[in-house]
Amino acid sequence: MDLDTKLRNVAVVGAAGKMGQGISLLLAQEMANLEARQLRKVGSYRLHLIDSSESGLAGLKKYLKEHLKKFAERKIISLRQYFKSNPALISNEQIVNAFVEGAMDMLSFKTNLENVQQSQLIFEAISENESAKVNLLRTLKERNQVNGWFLTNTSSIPIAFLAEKSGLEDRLIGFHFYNPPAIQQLVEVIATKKTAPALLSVASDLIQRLNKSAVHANDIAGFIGNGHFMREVYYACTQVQSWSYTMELEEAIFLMDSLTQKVLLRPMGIFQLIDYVGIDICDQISNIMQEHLKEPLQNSLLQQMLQAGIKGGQNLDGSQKNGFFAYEGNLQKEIYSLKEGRYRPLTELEANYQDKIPKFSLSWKSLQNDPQKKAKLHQHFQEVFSQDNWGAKNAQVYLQHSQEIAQLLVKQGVTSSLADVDKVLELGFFHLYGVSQLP
Amino acid sequence: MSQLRKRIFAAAGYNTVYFGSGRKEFNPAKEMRSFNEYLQETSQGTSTQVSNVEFDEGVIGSFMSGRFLNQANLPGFLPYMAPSLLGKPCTAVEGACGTGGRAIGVAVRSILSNLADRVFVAAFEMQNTMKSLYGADVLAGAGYYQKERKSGHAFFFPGVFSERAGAYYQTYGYDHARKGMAKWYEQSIQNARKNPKAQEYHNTSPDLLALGMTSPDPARFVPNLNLYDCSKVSDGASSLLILSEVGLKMCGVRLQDAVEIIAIGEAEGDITLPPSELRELTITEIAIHKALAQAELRLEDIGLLEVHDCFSITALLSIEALGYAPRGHATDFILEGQTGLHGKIPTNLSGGLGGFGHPTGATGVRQLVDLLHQFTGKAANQASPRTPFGMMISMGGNDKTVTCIITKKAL
Repeated sequence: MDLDTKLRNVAVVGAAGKMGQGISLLLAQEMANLEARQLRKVGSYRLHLIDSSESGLAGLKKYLKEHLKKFAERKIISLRQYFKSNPALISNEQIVNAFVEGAMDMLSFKTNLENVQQSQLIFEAISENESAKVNLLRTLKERNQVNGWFLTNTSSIPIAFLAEKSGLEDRLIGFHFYNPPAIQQLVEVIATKKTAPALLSVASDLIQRLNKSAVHANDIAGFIGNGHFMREVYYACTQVQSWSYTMELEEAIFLMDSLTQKVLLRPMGIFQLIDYVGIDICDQISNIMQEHLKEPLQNSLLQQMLQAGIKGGQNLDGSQKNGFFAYEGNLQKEIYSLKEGRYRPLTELEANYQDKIPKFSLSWKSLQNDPQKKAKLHQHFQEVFSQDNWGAKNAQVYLQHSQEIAQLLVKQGVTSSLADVDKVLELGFFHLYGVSQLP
Repeated sequence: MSQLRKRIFAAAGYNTVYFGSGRKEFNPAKEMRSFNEYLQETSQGTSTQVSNVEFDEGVIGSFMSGRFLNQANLPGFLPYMAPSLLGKPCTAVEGACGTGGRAIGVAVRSILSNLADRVFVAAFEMQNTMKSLYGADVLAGAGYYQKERKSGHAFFFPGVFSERAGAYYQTYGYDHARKGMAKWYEQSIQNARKNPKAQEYHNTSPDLLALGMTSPDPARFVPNLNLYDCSKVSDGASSLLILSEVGLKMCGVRLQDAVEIIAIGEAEGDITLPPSELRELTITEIAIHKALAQAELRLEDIGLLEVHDCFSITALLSIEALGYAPRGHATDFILEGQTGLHGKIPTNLSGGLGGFGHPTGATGVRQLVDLLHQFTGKAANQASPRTPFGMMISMGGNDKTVTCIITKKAL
């Protein structure tokens, strides 16, 4: 069965979450576009959006309506072609509205699983919790009557483990979107030895259709993305803990964050990125990976923050919640002191910062669209590697460690090539450079 | 055609900034200046140039304020702009993108008929109130909506002129035409960079010619035009006074601060019919001939030109309609630099529709304001016209509502 046929009846479970919402939008766009292009009657395609949160679903409905309209506006030239034979649809406005209406009619919003019976493709995007995912997949398998295929958005749990525990066996594949799915180009695909080849082929077709880029990872906990990221998190946490013998812990965190952002020219420092992903989620993932890999990856720093009631993560509107840092918009303004149990203004830490972090003229932002990016990066890192100060030295060590992680992923067989790690870092994490060849 | 039975003057011209994407201060997410502000600014700009602000009549032009602003009954805004118009005859005029030309035409008639000596003429359009794809639906009203919209392109008017461009390419060759269109774009932006009120004033693109040479991409836009071939979505207002000789004195305007309107050629095409010839602007040609005949001038007598270059292809067709180049050869004329500041016929020196911007209903009035500024030495990109005569062509829709005005330096 080809992708178009499979897309006739699809379900997303966990649809109102941060990842589920983006996945739902991508599928709704593609399916509504197919329906319009093929001039199918409304109802030919069904997308079942399922979430335990009623209010989450209400928010999802609003979000989808708004973004489907923007999608239709972007596609107006082809939509006019699709609707050519309908004499009632004349203006762009009428055509956009008809498309959105048709798309919204294609959707169902439910807090229970009753609609998955006929679904050919079922996307699982609930929170990263092993037993919850296993139970859900098992229930879905029981409810589904058409031997549907399952695509899980897990970013850390081995697919073979989920397939075996849920009884899905060859009907499950790892299909890990990056956050936010509607924007990020990368999808990490994890097939197990048992995954049906036809499922892998449809999954690959879907990635192409969604204009995404696939990277294939082997089925080892954390895959490539978290395989790299969680080890960096662990490393950063243990480093700042050791620095905290000679300075305040929050100062160490601030320095590490600045160093990873400003010296390594990344879009976010490592602790800001933890806040972005969610401290709780990072902790869960590190726990899962530690269990499966038998490698120390969980760090007490994250747990201390959680015990202090600080979780980070984002609000549904995409704004940043407080974590290691307190934010104004997306700007870091304060940093949490575990010792004092309060946020301290970053200005209080400036003195030490000025002293330790060297200043560079380049930034991640300035280089993003610079055609001479490569040469400029090369020059920048030559400068970093030639300096002898605290910040430059620690940046060198961090970068070398990052490279070692990539090598470890190849050695462990998560991927066969360092180029794939680069691809994940560049497309999934928006780094300006990979680690296979340091600039 | 007989000469005008009275001397008629244009004076006290004013243009607001023509605003939209390209201006540094443009931010669609932020609230923009309201149309009231534009109206107030332009009327004050005109009023402060005269010592006596008593007017007899007002004319206001806008193409689609009813759709863009949900505002009709525009004559009611004239006393708001010029308080002396309270209790006086005020009229709104609409002729799509040719609105401005026709608004001037209405004022000229009032003077000629002895009903008024001092007519305040203002024109405006606010198009940034909606996204361009919905704006395209509104602007499609300049075509025969009922028959043409359904089969038309998402971006309706670019689609209409893309069709003309396609026919032109087929006969005269794409490569040659494209060079002329790209050069036209370059010239428009270079002129606009000298005009602080132009929408493209802040344009800093290093290689305009290369942008102009961009191949059209039918998947993203229309088949035969690129984005640089098109004037943009603009907000703006312009105003001036149309005066009799008596009116000139009553307002206290010196002769050297005015230009004389010596001819007005108006022509209309049937909107329900497709153009008889895609590669020519036949109605524009009629208007030009009428104006030249009325002024008893030859084309060579014209020293400065304002053409309605809503698309670069329209500039080429206008040059050929005027007779500056044989059909298919406007490109040579442009590449030779003949439309430049020091060329045979300096054209659109304030940037034209592509560079200054094109708030549809306002453009015709803006063209006359610019001729006035040029011949009174007040232009931002000042030329030294080799004759005292200027010409403007205001065009509405697909060569349907055309006004060609010839001015003379007032002596």
